Amino acid sequence: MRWTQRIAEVNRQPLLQVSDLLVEYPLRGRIRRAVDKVSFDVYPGQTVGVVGESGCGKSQTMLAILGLLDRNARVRGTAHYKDHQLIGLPARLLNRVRGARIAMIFQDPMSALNPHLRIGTQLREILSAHTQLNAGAARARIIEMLTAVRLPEPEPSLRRFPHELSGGQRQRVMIAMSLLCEPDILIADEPTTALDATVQADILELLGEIMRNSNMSLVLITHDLGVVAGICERVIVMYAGRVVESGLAETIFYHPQHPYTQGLLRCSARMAWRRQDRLPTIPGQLPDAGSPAAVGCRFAPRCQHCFDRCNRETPELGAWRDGHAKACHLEQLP
Amino acid sequence: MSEALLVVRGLRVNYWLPPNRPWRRALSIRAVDDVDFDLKPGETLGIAGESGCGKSTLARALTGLQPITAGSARLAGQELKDLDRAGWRTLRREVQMVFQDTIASLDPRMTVSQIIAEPLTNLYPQMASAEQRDRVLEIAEQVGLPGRDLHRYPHEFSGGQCQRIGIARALVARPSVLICDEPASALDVSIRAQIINLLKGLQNKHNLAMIFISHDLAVLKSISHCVLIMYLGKVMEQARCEKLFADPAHPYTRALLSAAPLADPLQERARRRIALRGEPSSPTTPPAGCVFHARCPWVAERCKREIPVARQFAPHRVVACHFAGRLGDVPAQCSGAGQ
Repeated sequence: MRWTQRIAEVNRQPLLQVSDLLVEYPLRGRIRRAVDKVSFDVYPGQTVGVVGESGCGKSQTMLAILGLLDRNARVRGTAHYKDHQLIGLPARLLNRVRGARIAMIFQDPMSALNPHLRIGTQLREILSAHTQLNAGAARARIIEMLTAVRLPEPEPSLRRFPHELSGGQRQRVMIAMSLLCEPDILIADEPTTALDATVQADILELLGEIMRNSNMSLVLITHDLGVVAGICERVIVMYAGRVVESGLAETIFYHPQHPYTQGLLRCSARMAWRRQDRLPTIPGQLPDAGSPAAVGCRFAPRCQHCFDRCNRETPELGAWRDGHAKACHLEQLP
Repeated sequence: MSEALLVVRGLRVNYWLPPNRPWRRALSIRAVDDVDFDLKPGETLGIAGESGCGKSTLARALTGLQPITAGSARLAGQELKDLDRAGWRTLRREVQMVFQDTIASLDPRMTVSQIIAEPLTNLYPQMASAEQRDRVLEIAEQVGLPGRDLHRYPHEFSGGQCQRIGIARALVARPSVLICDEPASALDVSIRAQIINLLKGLQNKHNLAMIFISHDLAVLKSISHCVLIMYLGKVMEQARCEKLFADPAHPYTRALLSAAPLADPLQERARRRIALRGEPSSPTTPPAGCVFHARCPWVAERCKREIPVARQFAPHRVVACHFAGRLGDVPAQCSGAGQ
């Protein structure tokens, strides 16, 4: 299956094509860059994991594509969904795409749902905004979707308020809501971070199942490489607003070429850890979110392979081999 | 073997919920129900469980932030239940706590050196200011805070640095027990390991007894000597760390272990997960019989009627399950496919 999908990637047009995306904020008279020249493609049916630590710009990138950033954000670059360039599109036109063609779910389902409205009302809102379905058909569609995400008691749940559901159930409602219009792309921003371990596993399994049974693409934003491992086909690793490495999941996990990816993998939770050992770390601190654009590699202060060129010249994301790209001056990691 | 420093027997903590109708009786919730453990100097007890299982309440009860309803908890022979405010004031020299949300637990209007010195001013009012300053500098160096940063304010620091300040504040009074409530959960992966290594180093240096609460089992495995798994206020399984991870005896422990995601695509795809049924039960209306029966893949008739007693299953090993040691393979309908 993986092989056929790789062939598909060669032949098909990308569904979403983001290039040189910049997000900047004016802050105390200076321009702070939160996202710096991010480019990536999403193909139909593909699952892309965007991994990075806090402040790396992973959420900012996705919010920028959907035009959901604060007003003071300046966005440049392009994001083509099919033939539409989404950046700079007026809200009236953008609303035809977001929610319907590109849907998004968020980390905390409690704050994403409206506490004043019943679940049924909130779900119906999506359908009345994007489709012409009458009340009966809309209700049937909603119940079908809630059953598909395995929400217990879908019918009585329509009358419930968000606070009456558990965290996992709320996230199921959010997933059902995002799938109502059968979007081409689902962007999931840390969908399981606020959930308990067993519930997280349930939700990831559900997302995997939905992906297998549809031709939807999934962009999964997370800080946890464990979440990415099971479900993603491509992985994009971000650090301090830039993409540092991108490639197929197997390549990223088994043959990482960027020192940061390597470090992140070493730090990820492993059951092989023992009390006797010191845990592997990446020394130093994370850079400030959106610090002013500086010359040189942003990871250099924490990198054990850093040499003088890293401080002079910013490494560009270059194809290394076989759909695998990295932004590092080193030819090959030792 | 050294003497246990903290001995907890049959500890229970209840919360009272106001009734939803004025004429009804207040509801009591058993947040922590019948917990036993011993903690020796230099050892770490890891506590795991999902939200609402009572792990934080347990920590709060042991630091006097929440009254103990029943049972006993003795710290170096002193019964914690009998302590009044003045008694706690002396005992707090011995028990200190590190919190999850550090930035919220640090007073934004105090400088770092004031924050770290505060336990000394409160617990040792007679201490000379020169000695105070020396102690603050000493502990700041041990947790890796540069001396030049001590006059700055918490908001100037990153999450990881704030956690170091929190640890320094907890250790400045030289306690014998340190309770860490999810100290690394809010931190980024690359910073988390730094904090855990720091705690392990400090434990060795000061021979600290530690209670380490975390929902991350891999982190727990890397720091604990002994692990306690809780569900709805009750202890499900308690064992030496190596034993518990090598051969989990309780269905809940098995499910938790099988749910932890692995940062390895091949392993992750091949993983057989034990899927739990339903949603976590509410602590206000705990199910009859075993608290875990509604979600347990191995559930039998007996589990719905009879509360399993936490029994000695093997040396250093307590399991609260009727079928411990006789579980067998995962029932077919509950073995979730890997992804």
